[in-house]
Amino acid sequence: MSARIGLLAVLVLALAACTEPSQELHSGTNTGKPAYAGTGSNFVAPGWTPGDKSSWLRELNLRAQRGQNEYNKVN
Amino acid sequence: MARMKFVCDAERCIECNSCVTACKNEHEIPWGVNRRRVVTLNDGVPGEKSISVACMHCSDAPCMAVCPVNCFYRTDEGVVLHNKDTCIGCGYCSYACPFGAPQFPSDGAFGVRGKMDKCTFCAGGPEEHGSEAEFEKYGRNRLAEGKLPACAEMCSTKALLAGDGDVVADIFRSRVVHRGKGAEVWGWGTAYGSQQAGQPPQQQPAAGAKGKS
Repeated sequence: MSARIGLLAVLVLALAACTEPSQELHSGTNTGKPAYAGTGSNFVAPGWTPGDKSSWLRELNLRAQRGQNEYNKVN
Repeated sequence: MARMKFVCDAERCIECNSCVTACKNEHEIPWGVNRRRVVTLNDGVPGEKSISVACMHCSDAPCMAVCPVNCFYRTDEGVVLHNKDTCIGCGYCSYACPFGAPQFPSDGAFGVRGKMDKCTFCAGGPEEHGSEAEFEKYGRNRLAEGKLPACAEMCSTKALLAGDGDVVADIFRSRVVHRGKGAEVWGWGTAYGSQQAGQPPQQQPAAGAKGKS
């Protein structure tokens, strides 16, 4: 009886390697920081504080209006 | 939260390809890979239209849906990026994308298809912002530097707009209000003649008149 149980345990352990790996969907592989954290390099545009999300957004919107909306200049 | 988008104004684009050049220069993109390109409809015919096309960073991106290794992810700003360490270069995203954005470098032996490369909205990748590894794999991370994509900032006629969708839409709307649309657009009637744009009707030769020989 104990030999049969032992054989069963060995079989269970041996077949455990045949189980399927997890196939659940995982959402993306992003491990980075948010963009508003900045890069720490000397190329960062002046006028905003790295790490401050609202100042980063404000800088981008200002940059878009200044650089891409010439009606602000001529009208 | 900002949702980053591109818009190309077909009335302004003059097919100068400076967006393509700016992108290649900024990210040091190799030969054979074009993250952005200019497409012209009715080339050479009066009224031709050009638009600059790259990854449109779809809100419901088909490339994300078909990727078998799930290498794509979307940032908080709505930029669709991918992880080159996960990508297996199968090319499914290339078939799924309606804009032809995914590119595959073929510099390996026997034209082997490499890892996918595409427009990142100048937002780098999953590596540390501003790091050498990020630049090597994905190019410069201008967004984290507080800048907008190089293609849009370099556009000579400001045809290509990039930024927060709300801001870009406001800029485009104010343009259309000022200049009109279709044949009303500035310069259009002068170049091609149009009653709608206030030009006099074109002179027709009188009936029976004969041309000088």
